Amino acid sequence: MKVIQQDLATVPLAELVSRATPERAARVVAPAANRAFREHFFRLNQERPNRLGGKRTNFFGQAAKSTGATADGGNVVVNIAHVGIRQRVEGGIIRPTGGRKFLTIPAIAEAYGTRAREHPFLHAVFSPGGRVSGALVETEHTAVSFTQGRGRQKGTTVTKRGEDRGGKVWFWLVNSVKQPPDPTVLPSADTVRAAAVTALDTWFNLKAARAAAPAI
Amino acid sequence: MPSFAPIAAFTEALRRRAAQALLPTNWGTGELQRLDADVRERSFFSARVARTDLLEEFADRVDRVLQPSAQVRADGSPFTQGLDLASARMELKDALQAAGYQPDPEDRGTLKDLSSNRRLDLILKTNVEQAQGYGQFAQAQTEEALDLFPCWELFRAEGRNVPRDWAARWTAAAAAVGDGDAAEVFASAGRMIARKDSPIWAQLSRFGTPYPPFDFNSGMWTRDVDRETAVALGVIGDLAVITPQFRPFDLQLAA
Repeated sequence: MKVIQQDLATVPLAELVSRATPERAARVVAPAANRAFREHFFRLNQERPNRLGGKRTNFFGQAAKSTGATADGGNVVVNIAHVGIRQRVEGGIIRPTGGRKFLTIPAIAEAYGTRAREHPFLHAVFSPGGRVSGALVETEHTAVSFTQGRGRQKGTTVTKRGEDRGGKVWFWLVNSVKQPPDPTVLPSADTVRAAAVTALDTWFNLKAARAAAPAI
Repeated sequence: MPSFAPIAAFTEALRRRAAQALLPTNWGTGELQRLDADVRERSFFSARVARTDLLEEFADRVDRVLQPSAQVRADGSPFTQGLDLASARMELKDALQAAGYQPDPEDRGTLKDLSSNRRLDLILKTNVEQAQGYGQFAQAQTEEALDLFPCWELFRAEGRNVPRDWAARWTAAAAAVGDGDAAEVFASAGRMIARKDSPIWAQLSRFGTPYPPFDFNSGMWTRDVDRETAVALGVIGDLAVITPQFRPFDLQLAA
């Protein structure tokens, strides 16, 4: 997703921008905008763990790491090369792709961050109607693990029998999901604008201070 | 309200990938560690993966995670299509099976098993994040960026059940390279902040590169520190000029 911040026409910012060429002003604002977006995503990553409490995918942390900003003429372009951000900002209906009939929605913490096909012990059960088309449910089985022996068992394969399992719903199957728009996924225009004003102010003051400093 | 445009690539992140050649190898992690950081940076490899076809599959998925593309639905609405890490892992499992890969029975499920979640997540996350870390590093080297944000701070971006002792690593790295300012700020303010041109960043890294990630499966990352804060903490003087840094492959690509 590429965000172009054009709506920066406040008086203080316009005055600062007028003191430099548009291209130079954009080069000054770009790193500040970049930082504003990254810090926002890192903060969301702390504030919004997944609802089921399973192993975290750190979605917003990944978005932060995928974010960069450059000057494009007199514009600043913030690029977020991460799937899912635009969907969250704009909302909309998500439908299965790639020939699949259903979306799989994690039902338990262990399912989070995984794909249904990674769990061969699941089978599908279907509902006669309603919002949920069905579920992927644990087939009855015994959890067994094979690990390398350590210590006195080194060189052997240690087999451990785990719990007997079955019947737990791992994923809900749905035809589509409607997500509401969430503009808070991105930093507000005021936040980015403030970062731009601070950046230009800092930069102009630094240039003036260096020019005034006695030559060594 | 910002306007959205079709996604553009994280060009600098992709530049690092473009500079890499596949390196099939029978070497393990320890042996690979003895290669120059420059050689490792310009190579795409995984410990004890000697098959080029498997490396190509791994590299392809890393590139697709890094480079989502703009698509249009049948109703004309735009959307972003790309690969997330979980889907990339699933595709690699399918590719490994199709390629006839079988782990040794005693290695199944461990890091030595190329088809295990642990190994695949490590390969994907390490390579994707190294490209992203370099991208952040490269974008930070403009005159304007260095004037505004002359320092980075090492901070915890993701939690870990068993975190490494980064305080000790920071202190040791600062001492090893003689960055007294970084050591002093940490001692007085408890923050791991250093100039962007300090050799502490490469010293800190298991990979010898001055950008995150600094170790396997690390939850640490870097964030920009503005000039005012850096001056207040005593890391730099108020008019300090930070020298832009380049990686060897940057200079070769520019030639």
